[in-house]
Amino acid sequence: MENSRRDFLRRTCALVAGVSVSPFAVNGTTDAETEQAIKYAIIHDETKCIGCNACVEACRETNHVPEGVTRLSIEKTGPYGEYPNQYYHFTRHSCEHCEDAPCVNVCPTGAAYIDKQTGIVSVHADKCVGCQYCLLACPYEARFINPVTKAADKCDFCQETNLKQGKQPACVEACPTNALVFGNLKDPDSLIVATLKANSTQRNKQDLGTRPKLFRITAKPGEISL
Amino acid sequence: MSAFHFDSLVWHWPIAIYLFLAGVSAGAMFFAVLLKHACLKDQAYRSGFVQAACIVAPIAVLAGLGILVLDLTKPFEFWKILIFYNPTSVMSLGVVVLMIYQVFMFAWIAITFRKPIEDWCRPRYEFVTKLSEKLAHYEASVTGLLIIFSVALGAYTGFLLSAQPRFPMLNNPVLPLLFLASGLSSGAASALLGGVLLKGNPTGKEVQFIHKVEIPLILGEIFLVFTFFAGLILSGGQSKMAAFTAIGEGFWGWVFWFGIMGLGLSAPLAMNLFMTATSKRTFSYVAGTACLSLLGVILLRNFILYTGQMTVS
Amino acid sequence: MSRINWLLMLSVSVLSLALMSQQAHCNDSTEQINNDSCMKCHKRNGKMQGHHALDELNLSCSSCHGEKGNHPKKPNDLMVFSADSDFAVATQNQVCLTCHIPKKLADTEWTHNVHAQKVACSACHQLHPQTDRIMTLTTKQRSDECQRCHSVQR
Repeated sequence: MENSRRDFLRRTCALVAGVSVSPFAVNGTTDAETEQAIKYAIIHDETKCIGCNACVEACRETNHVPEGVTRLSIEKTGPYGEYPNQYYHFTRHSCEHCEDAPCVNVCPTGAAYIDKQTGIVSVHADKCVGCQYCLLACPYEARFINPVTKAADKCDFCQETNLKQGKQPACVEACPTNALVFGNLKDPDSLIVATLKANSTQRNKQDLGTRPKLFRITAKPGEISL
Repeated sequence: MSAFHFDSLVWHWPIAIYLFLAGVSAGAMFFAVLLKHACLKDQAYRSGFVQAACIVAPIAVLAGLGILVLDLTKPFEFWKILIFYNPTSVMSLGVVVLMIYQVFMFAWIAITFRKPIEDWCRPRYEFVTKLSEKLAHYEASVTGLLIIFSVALGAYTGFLLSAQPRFPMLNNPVLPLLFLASGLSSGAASALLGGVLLKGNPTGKEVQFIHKVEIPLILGEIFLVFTFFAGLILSGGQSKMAAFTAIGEGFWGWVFWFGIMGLGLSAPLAMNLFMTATSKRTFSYVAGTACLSLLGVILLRNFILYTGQMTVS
Repeated sequence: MSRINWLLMLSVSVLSLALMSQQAHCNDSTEQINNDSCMKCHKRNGKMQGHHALDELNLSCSSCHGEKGNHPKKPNDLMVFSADSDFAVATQNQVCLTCHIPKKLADTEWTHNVHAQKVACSACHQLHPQTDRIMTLTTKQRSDECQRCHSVQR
């Protein structure tokens, strides 16, 4: 009895030591990250957005998103001001492609992933079992269960459609007022880098440490809220 | 905002039932081990309470997993969760803990019930005797690891929810401890309830032992609930909002004050103190107290799950 | 027996009444406005068919387009609703606002608020045809409609 107890303690200690060291082995992947050539991001210029929903419709068409769910929506607040001088605010509601994505961290099967080449947060639909842990985790409520594939679904910057054909994402192409700017943050000559340098931008819920890549050029405030 | 339907709600009651059942299983095994080593020794298999715990634990954990699988949008692809692992996912780590826990749970049950199993198998299946002999050789290791993994499983039910930076109430370091404590007490309650139903003696030393452990456990739970909400309120901001939304007026406020604090914690504590002080233990006292404890834990899991999802940061 | 007969009679009469009223509804009467004196000359412009032609509304051509005055000689004061109208947008819209309340318009469709002073109602709404096209758009057509004005060079 005494012997086996000592034996047990020794083995348990070895196990605990082994497990606690293992994270260091995982850290080796950070080298690959520094070499990444592309990091896609998007800007929504709320001063230009007119709330026409052309982006939503284009996204649905291009990515075959079923009715009743959407990868992208434009949220409207207002009206502000007095009739007839009134205006609304439009905010883009979609995946913000976090650098440190909670959905990817919590996914038990690794179906949610960040593409190493492009930084796009996406889903392997066939690996997803539909536990909805990612829907719970996403601070931006960007995810939904696709009623056709039964897998978690979300904006992937048209990774499988337009981007593959060398085009801009469907929402960006459809926007009549050029309120959306998509591009590579690693390319210093890109329009998105120029736009980010020329404007003050905001990102949602930055205090959560998610480092989202949806930048907002915000419109004038509609009201004073404390 | 209605109590069971609101925009930010993703996980519904089946998850709460799963968390409850996993906690019951972990707690039942924990107390079975305690009973065997602290008061029954080799005669453990004769006790109705140990028997009850050893029946409840596997059924609860398997039923919980069943509910979990049915709650997936693709229930037939649940096996992918066993093949693909993600080291950063609490759920994935929980699957590992659950699997290993079940191995040690069945091994420990086999060791504890070695005598009746061998008696039943001896004339026909000689290899079972050999197998159980080998297994019994590792009893100390199996017992130790079972305790570690049952505590891990109990805490995991809390970690599963606390790994959610989006919800300030769930993203709380006290939650795993609270769920561990309430899981253990639900395991004790299910062992007591099952034990007296299996004709265990309500005045037996097992009951006295469990009640002695339960009193500090319930006091601990009350302290953890207090710390949980005090921590939220003192954090301010959305955390404070979340706490007041949960325990303030409304349906869930009633569930908390009347159901959890009243029926689930205070009443069993009073009954335990009464039974310890007067040593009056009857079937109905023991069973009633156990039922109240179980009800309290079910309510606590649902309460935390639903109110936790009400306020986002 | 007599009760059954009685019930039968009642149900038949109720049914026929319902059918008749249905009939009446289909023939939404637009006689009043189409027999307006203006129609003597304006037959070639076609009939006035839209919702605003209903007899219940008791409208005549002049309700919106103003009194005949000098017409058909020019210059005259007749109100013209179109993009190349000589009237200011606000003046054109003031005619609609004699009946329509801004608050109600805003509640049914948010775009009313932001366009109130910038675009004439007639830029989107057509009152003469049977159906007003803007009321029957799909979501896709609707966003195309916005792009008629709101689009910039790439």
